[in-house]
Amino acid sequence: MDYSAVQIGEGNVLALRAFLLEGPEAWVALRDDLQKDDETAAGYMSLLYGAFNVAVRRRFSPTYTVGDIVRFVADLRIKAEEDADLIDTLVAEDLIRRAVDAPPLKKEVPDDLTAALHAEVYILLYIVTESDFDGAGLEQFIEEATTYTKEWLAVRHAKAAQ
Amino acid sequence: MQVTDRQLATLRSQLAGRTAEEHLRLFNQLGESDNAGYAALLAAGLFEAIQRRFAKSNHASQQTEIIDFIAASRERSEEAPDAIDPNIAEQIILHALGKGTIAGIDGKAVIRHQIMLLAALTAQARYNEEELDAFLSQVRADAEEMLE
Repeated sequence: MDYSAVQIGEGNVLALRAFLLEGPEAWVALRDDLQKDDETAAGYMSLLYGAFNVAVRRRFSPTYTVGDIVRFVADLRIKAEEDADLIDTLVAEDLIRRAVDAPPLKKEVPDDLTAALHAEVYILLYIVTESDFDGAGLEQFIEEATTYTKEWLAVRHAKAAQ
Repeated sequence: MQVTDRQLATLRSQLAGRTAEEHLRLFNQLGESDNAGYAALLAAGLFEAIQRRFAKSNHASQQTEIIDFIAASRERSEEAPDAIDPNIAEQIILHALGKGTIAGIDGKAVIRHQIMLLAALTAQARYNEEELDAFLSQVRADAEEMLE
């Protein structure tokens, strides 16, 4: 299937809001939905990825150094305490570099989908906590993430159709 | 087998923050016969430096200090994040503290990281000449014991 053809609907937005407010446990109730078919799962995961990108771009704008990315991931792992081993440093730095269009790491980054998902979730929730949104701020962030995801999917869909 | 004065002087030139040229000049004077001695010096030096820096902390603050130390070594320049692999650096430090293994890591990568980590730990320790000599004297004795 063409994953970029998925549509972001109200259910996805509600799920993202719950995720940002309550953490990954909010998605336990979505387990059946996430396992229904690839297209349904792709809707949720695309919006999560979009939110990650928006959060990272906000966090590292207007300027940053690669040293800032190194320090950010280290602080994230320190705060994660006993979960630090769930966050692979190189995977996390690579995801952030991609999100802000920084030069890629020259090292071989582990190709591990689970590690990438862990890093994505920890980074997103860390930045959201750090941002300390009020109600309006959170809604603005979700709206920005939704718009970003729809545009990103449209670009990918157009490329897939070529 | 003994560690030679020349091997020790080479390591000292690096750890004392001498110019890269001087360290390279001394390093280039080492021959193949120096490999075992110099490798033992590096290994013993890093082991001792890790013990001094991290061994006193409890498990939780040890983890924080290791992550923080590696980040401090990697955030200094544009090249450092690529030069030092954080996963390898962490495994080497934990291994010296009796946790985990470095068996799966390429030998050349281990030596490269031993050199960088030892230099970084020694720089952070800010030894004066006398303290550095005392550190190296202990490292030499440990290395010679390893070579026996």
